[in-house]
Amino acid sequence: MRGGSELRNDAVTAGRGSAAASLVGAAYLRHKRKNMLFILLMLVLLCALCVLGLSVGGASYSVSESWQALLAGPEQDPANTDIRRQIIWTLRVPRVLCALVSGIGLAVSGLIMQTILRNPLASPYTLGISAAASFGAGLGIITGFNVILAVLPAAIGYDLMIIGNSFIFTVICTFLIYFLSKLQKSSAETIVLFGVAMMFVFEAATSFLQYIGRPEELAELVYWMFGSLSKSSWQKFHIIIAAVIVCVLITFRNAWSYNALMLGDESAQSTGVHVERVRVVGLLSSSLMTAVIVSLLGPIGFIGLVAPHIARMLVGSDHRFLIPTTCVAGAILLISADVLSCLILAPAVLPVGIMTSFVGVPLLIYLVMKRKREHW
Amino acid sequence: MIRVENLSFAYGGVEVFHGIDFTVGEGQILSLVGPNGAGKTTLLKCLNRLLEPSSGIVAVAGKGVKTLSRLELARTVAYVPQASLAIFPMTVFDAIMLGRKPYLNWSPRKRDFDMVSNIIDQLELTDMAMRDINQMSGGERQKVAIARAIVQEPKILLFDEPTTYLDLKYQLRIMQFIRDIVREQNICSVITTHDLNLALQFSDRLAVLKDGALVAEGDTAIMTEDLILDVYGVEARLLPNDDKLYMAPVRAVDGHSHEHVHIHSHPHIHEGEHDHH
Repeated sequence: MRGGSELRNDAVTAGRGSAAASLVGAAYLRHKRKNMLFILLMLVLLCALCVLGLSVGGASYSVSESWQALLAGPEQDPANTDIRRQIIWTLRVPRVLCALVSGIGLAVSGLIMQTILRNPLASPYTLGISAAASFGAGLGIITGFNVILAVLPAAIGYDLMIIGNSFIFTVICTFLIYFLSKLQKSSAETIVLFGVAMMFVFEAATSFLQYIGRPEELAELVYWMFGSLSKSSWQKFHIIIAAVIVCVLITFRNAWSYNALMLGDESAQSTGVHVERVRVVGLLSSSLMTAVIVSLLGPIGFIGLVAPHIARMLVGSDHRFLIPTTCVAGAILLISADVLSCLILAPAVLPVGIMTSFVGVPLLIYLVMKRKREHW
Repeated sequence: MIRVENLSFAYGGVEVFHGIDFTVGEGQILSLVGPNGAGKTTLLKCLNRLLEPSSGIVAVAGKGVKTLSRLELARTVAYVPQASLAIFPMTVFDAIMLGRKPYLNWSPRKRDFDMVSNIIDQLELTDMAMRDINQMSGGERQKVAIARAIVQEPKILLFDEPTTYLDLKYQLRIMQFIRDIVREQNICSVITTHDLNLALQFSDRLAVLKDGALVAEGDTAIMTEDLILDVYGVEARLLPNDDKLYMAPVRAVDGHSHEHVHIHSHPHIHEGEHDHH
């Protein structure tokens, strides 16, 4: 360790660093360029998977057939009966797009939770959001209780009632945690504990509903709780993408603050981060994305837990690179799980919620086993 | 450079410390010493508003820290907490770059790269620049934390027990490095420590806390065998060590460890400290 004399500001200005120091800088830039390359490669893979995703489903087409139908554009003339184009544009494209944005949303939600809670086991569901959504749906399915109707008297369809119920309960759950944790200065540990508490409360409430429900209602609730991309539509895609874009941009803007949070609250605060605000904004944006996705498609597990870890192993922990990589990894995971769920029992389509773990976990285990000790 | 006046802090109605006054000048190191629970770390955290003092003034370079924005504060005061792990892997370079955060918009500029690269070189971390900090030894990790604080270009460096968990050689190297930086950049530093010998060897000023009160404050000559007995309940010998003092503990004395120290039993110490203000 040498003295501090070389640390004076004039010595660190351009061009006067030692040869060793410039080597360090070069190694760092190489590292970041490699990260960019990873992101690009993953984007290419993602595009390929999207096209593949279009060609699988109840009726299978070849990739080139789907591609042609895609290029032909949506069917404008209702008299025209090109079924392939209709299937591709009214079912498959929204399905793949929903998978794309939901994958991004769930993955970034998980990343936010892991970073702000400093917990590698955190996921979008850590705060009990999935349990709250299931309870809301169950309340609608089994008791017919309509939360939206209780607030604003408007006749709404059955599907909308279920979506509304589950969304409102996720919001209630999030705000309960938010206000409880505010009382405790929003520390990472208290948020996790309140989240786990909420999860158990809502799970117990859902069990109670299942206990009093009729068999056909139970079947419907169980089906809802699988989480499936078959529920996709253009309308749902528009809602999900709006929520995801807003929340991901907010998160991206806070990338440096997330970096600082990894060294602990005190270090972060001493570099100028408003720790409590970053944590609360993160909590709310993560919850909002998850709430929208879960209420529209049902709970889809594991993407939020696994995608951030995969991304971290590929590009390291600098959130300026980690956030985009996590987006791409989440989308890739969900679309591959969707493709597999269409293929595995074809022509039947499995709910994607069942497949995500089967795709995500082996990949995670593989990466954990092969990760090098030094370089990330 | 840093001036603390009548500073008090209470948590949940319980007073942690009260009526603290001291100053540290440019190029000086002040060591905060005292037994466990005396309020050293709490006091340190009040200096950069990690904790809000209940009353009193902390002024840095003539400006009250309460008047500074978060960013201004981060550009003025850097803080190194006790050794802690990052929960996720993070490279040495990225961890040190965080010290530049108060100056960055999005991408680090050449000056930021150069500063980080140079400090990595000076702290002999070059070979580990791209390694995960969680897989380094305690001493190396402490170097990274100090490097992060230094590239923050602060006027005040705060350290919470920087030598805990370090072996003998690293303790000396880290303290020497801190002293060099403080001298060269003409900034000042406040360090909490349990190691009286490192404090005697490397600091310009001492502040001795017990039960939330400043028992003595001044240059290293304020450390006496009586003071150590009063504050720590330990019988010790102070031996000359070049132009410094060396403290050799002899035995813990019953009945002293939890006894409240009467400030008036050391009137000479409080008289003395005002000469330095």
